[in-house]
Amino acid sequence: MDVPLALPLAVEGLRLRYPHESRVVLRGVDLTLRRGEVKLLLGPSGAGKSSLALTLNGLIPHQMEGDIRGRVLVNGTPTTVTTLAALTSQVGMLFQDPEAQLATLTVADEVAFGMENLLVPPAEMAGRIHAALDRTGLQGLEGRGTNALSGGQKQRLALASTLAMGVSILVLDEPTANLDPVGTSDFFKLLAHLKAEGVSVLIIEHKLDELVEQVDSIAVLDWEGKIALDGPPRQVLAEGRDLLEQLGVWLPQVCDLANRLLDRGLAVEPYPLTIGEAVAALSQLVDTGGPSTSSEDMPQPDRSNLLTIESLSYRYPQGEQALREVNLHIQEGDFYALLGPNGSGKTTLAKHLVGLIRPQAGTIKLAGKDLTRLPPAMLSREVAYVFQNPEHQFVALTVYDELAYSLRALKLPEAEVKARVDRLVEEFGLVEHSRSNPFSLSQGQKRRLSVATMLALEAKVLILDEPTFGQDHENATRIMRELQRLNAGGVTIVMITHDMKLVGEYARRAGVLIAGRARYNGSVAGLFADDMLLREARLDLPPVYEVSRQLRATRGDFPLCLSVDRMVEEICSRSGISRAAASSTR
Amino acid sequence: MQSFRYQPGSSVLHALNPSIKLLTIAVVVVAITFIFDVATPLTFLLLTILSMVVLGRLTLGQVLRSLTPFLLIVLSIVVLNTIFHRPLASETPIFSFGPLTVSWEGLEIGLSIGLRVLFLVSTSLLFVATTEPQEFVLSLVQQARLGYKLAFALLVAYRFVPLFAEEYANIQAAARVRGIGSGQGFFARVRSLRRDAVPLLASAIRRSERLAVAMDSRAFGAHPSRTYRKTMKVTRADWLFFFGTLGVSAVLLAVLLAAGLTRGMGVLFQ
Amino acid sequence: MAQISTNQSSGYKPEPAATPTSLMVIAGVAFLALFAGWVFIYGWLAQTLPGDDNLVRGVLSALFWLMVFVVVLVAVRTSNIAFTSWQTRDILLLALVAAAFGPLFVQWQTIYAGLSGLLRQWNDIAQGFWFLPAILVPYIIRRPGAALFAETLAASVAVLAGSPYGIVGSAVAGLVQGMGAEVIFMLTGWRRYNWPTLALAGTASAITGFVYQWPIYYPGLDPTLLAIMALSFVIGVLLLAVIPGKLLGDALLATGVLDRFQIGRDRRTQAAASEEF
Repeated sequence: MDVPLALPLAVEGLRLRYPHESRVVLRGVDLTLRRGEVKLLLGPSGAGKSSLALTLNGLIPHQMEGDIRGRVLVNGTPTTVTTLAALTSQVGMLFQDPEAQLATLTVADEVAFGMENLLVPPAEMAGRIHAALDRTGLQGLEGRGTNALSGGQKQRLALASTLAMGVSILVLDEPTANLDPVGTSDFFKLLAHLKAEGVSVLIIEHKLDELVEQVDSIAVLDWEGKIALDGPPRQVLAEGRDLLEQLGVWLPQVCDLANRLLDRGLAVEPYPLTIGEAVAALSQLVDTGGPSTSSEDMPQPDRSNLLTIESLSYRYPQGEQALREVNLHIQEGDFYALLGPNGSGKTTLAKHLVGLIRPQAGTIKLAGKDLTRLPPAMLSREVAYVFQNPEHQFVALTVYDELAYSLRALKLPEAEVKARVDRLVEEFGLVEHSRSNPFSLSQGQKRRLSVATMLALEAKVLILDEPTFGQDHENATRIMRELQRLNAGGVTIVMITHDMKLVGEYARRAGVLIAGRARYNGSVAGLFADDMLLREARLDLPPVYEVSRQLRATRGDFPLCLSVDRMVEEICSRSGISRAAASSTR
Repeated sequence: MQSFRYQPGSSVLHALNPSIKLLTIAVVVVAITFIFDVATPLTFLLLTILSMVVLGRLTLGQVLRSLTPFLLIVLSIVVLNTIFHRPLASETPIFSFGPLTVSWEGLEIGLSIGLRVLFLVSTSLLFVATTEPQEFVLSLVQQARLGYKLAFALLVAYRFVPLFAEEYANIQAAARVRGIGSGQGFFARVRSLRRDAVPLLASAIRRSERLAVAMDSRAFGAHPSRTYRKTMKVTRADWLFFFGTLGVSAVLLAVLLAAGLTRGMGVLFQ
Repeated sequence: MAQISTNQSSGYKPEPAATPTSLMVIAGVAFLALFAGWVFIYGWLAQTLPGDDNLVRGVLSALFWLMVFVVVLVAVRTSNIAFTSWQTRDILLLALVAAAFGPLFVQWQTIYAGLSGLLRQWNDIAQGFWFLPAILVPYIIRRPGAALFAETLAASVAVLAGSPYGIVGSAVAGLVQGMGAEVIFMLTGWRRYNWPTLALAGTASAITGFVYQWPIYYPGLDPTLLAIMALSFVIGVLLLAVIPGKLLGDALLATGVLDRFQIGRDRRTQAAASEEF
C-alpha cells in the first residue's frame, strides 16, 4: 500500500471554469503540499485563489458548479472519485468571515457539528471535542455561546471543529482578514503549534509580517490563473520581487523596504524577511554610508482645533459604559488616527462626531460651534463618515445615482449634479462603471465609491472606519493616496484603524482609547515611543519602526522612522545617493 | 419583547422533552379553543400562569411583564368582537352610541375571545420561556422526525437574528449619516424600509452562500442522516406530565360543565 | 510524453424542477378548497346540526384545528423528502433571509401601528407584509417547498426571538400561509414565477391565512365585516407582499448576489435564448 507515502495534496494541471462565465479562472495549476509543510499562496484579488481552495476538498465539483480539467489528489486519490464525506474528513477549510463559519449556538455543539455529519457515534464525541478545544487553545469554553466569542475565537472554533473530524490537511482562505492584530497574532501562533503536530497547511493570507517566518514555501498565483512562482520564501520574495510588485500583493514590510532600497541600486544582502535580518543587512549599509544629510522630522506646525471633544461620556442603554470623560482635539487639516483595542469606544466616539449618538455628558465642538446644535442635514454636510462595510451605505441602483443621491436631496439643479458627479467618477476612477450596480463592483471599487459618495457634499471632515480592511495592496494604496490628496486639499481625515503600518505611513497625529478613556492625543512619533501605552492598547509597532529603533541602538544618530519612505530616504542620503539619481533608476 | 424569550433555569418544565411539551399544549388548546364562554378560557389562563410559576419557577412578575405588551392587542380584539359581532338571538343593551350598541351578550363574546387569545399567548410563553431553542430543534428532529436540514435552517436563522438586527441598525445609521433621514411620516417610513431592505437582504444572501460553503466543508448533508451529540429522551416524567395535564384539564372542564358555565360556539347561531 | 489529463465535467447537476404527482395535486387543491370554503361549511354545519346543545357545535369547530394539525404533521413528515433535492446554499438562503426579515418585521410593526388609525375596517391590509417571505424566497430559489418553509421559518424564528404572538399566532399561522402559496407554485410544477403566478400564490396564501386567523381572533364577527376583512387580506398581500416581493427579488438580482441561485440561472438561460434570435 503506497497511500501513506502519497503527498497530502497534489494539484496537476488544474483548469477551472464556472459555467455561464466565459473567463477561465484557473489555467493549468500545478501545486504540491508535503506532510507538515506550511505553504503560503499569494496572488492578486480575483486571480482565483479562493476558487483553487474550493477544489482542494472537492467542494468544486461535488457541491458547486464548475468545469474542471486536470486532477486534484488528496492523499493520493483524485477528489472526483472520493465522496465528499471522505474528503471533508481529510481536508479542513476555513474562510474569512468568522460569522459565516459557525452553524450552531454553543462551542461544544460547534465542535461536534462536523463529527455529527460524519456519523461519529455520540459516545466518542466528548473526548474528541475536548482534544480539539485543547489543540486550538479554547479549553474550558465548551458551554459558551458562539455569539459571545471574539472573531479570533470564532475562527479557532471553526478550526477545532474540522480538527475533531480528523483532518490532517488545512486549507485556510484569509483566516485573519476580519481579525484585529491580537486575534491575528494568536491565530498564527496556533498555526505554529499545528505545524509542529504534523498538520499540512495551505494558507492564503495577506498579513505577512509575522507569518512569513512560519511558512516553508510560497506559491504565487498570477493573473493568468497559473502558478508563476513556487519555492522557499526568501527565494520567491527576493527573486520574484518585480512580479510580486506588478501583481500588487501585500508583502512583509521589511521586504517592501528592501525592495525600495534595491530599486535605488543599494545592495541589501542577504535579502531580509524578518526585523532581525533587516537590521543585520542594513547595519552594513548604514555603517558604510557617510553622515546623514537628511533633515530630522519636521515638527508639526500647530494648527487651530477643528474638533474639540471635552469630557465626553456615554453609557449604552444596555448598561455598558463606552466612553468615560474623553478629551480629544483634532486639528484643522489633520490626518488623524483613532486607535484602541476592540470595544474601547472608538466607534462610539465616531458616532458622536456624526450625530448618530447624542452626548450624555460633555461637549463636542466643530470649529467652535456646538455640534449637537447643528441640524442633522447640516451636520452631514460638514462631517462625513465612511462605514467599514461600503454596502451598508448604498441606496441607489447605479453608481451615478448613488453619487447624485445626496445632491438631489439638496435639490441642486440637475446640471450642477451632473457636473459634480462627473468630476467624482473621474477622480475616483469609476468612469466606466457609472452605469453599474454599486453592489456588483469589486471590493476596491466599492470602497472608493463609498468614499466618493461621502465627499459629494464636500464635507470638511472625513471619518473612515478601517479604510483598507479586506483590500489588496494595490487598492489599499490607491485609497490611501486618494485620502492624502484630499487631505492636501484641506479635508481633515480621521481614520479608525488597527493597522499601525497604515498609521506610520499616513497619519500625522493619533489618539488612543482604552476602555472608554482617552489615553493619548498627540503626534504619531510620540505615540510610537510610548511602549507601555502601546502594550496596554495591544498595538504592535510597524516592523520598519522596529528596524530603525534597533539601528539607532547601535548608531545613536540614526533617526526613528515611522514609514518605509522615511527610512529609504534616510539610508539613501547616508549612502550618498541623491534623490535625482534614485528616481532615474526607477 | 425581550422577556418573551427562553429564560434559563432548572424546573419541571425546563426538564421536559420539548416535543412532548408542545404536544401537550396542542392537545389542550384544541380541547378548549372552541368553547365559548368567559369562565373556561379564564380558568385555563390561570392554570397556565400557575404552572409557569409553580412548575416553571418563573416569577409571577416575569410572567405578567411578558403578557402586558399583548394586553393592548387583546383589548382591541375584545372591543372589536364586542361591538361588531353578528346579530344574536337576544341582546340586553348596556349602552349605545350612534348606530352601535354594546350588549351584555356581546361583551361576553368579546371577553371570551379576548381571554382565549390571551390563553393561547400564555401557552406560547410557557413553551418559549422554558425551552432551550437548540434542545427544541434537536427534539423536533429526534422525536417529531423533522428533516435535519430544515432543523438546521431554523437553528442558523435563530443564531443570525441578533446579528442582522445589528446590521440593520448599521444600515439605518449609514443612511442617516448621508443626510437621508428616516423620516416620520408613513410614506417616509415605507420608503426607508424599502431602501434598507436591499443592503440587508443582499448581505444575508452573501452570508448564506459563505456559510453554505463552510458547512459543506464540514460534511453537512454528506449523508442522508447524521448523529447527535445530545440525545433528547422521552422519559416517564414526560408522559406523566402529558397525561397529568390532560387529566387536570378534563376534570376542570367537567367541573365547569357541571356548574353550567360552559357554552359552545353555537351561541352565535341561535 | 503526453500529459495524462482526465476530463471531468461538473458532478453538480441542477435538479430538474419536480413534477407534482396527481396525488399531490389532489391534496393541494383539496387543501385550498377546504380553507376557502371553511367559513361557509362551518356556517352550514352549525345551522343544520340537530340538537340544541351548543357544545356539540363548538366541538365541531375543533375539526378545523385537527385539520390544521394534520397540515402541520404532513409538513414536518415531508420535510425530509422535500429537502433531498436542496443544496445547502438554498437551505441557508432560506434561513438567513428568514432571519433578516426579523428586523424588517419589527420596523413594519411601527409602521403598522401608525397605519391602523388610517384604514379603519380595512386595517388588515397592513397584515400583507407578513406574507413577503412566502413570495420572495420561492421567487429566488424556485424549488419545491420554498414558499412553505420560508414563511414557516420566518414566523418560527420570530417566535424564538420573542414575538408575543407565539406558536399559534405566528409559527403555525406562517405554516398555513406558506402552504397556501406553495399549492399554487406546485400547480405550475414549480416552473413559473411570473406576475400572475405570484399574484395567485399571494391570494391563496391570503385566503388560507385569513381562514386560519378567523376562528382565533374574530369568530363572532358580523358577516359583512368578515367579508371586508377577507378582502383586506387579499388586497394587503397583493400590495405588500406580491408587488414588493417581485420588485425586491429583481432589485437583488441586479446586485449580482443571486447569480448562483435558480433565479440567476433562469435569467442567463433567458438571455442566452434571446441572443440566438
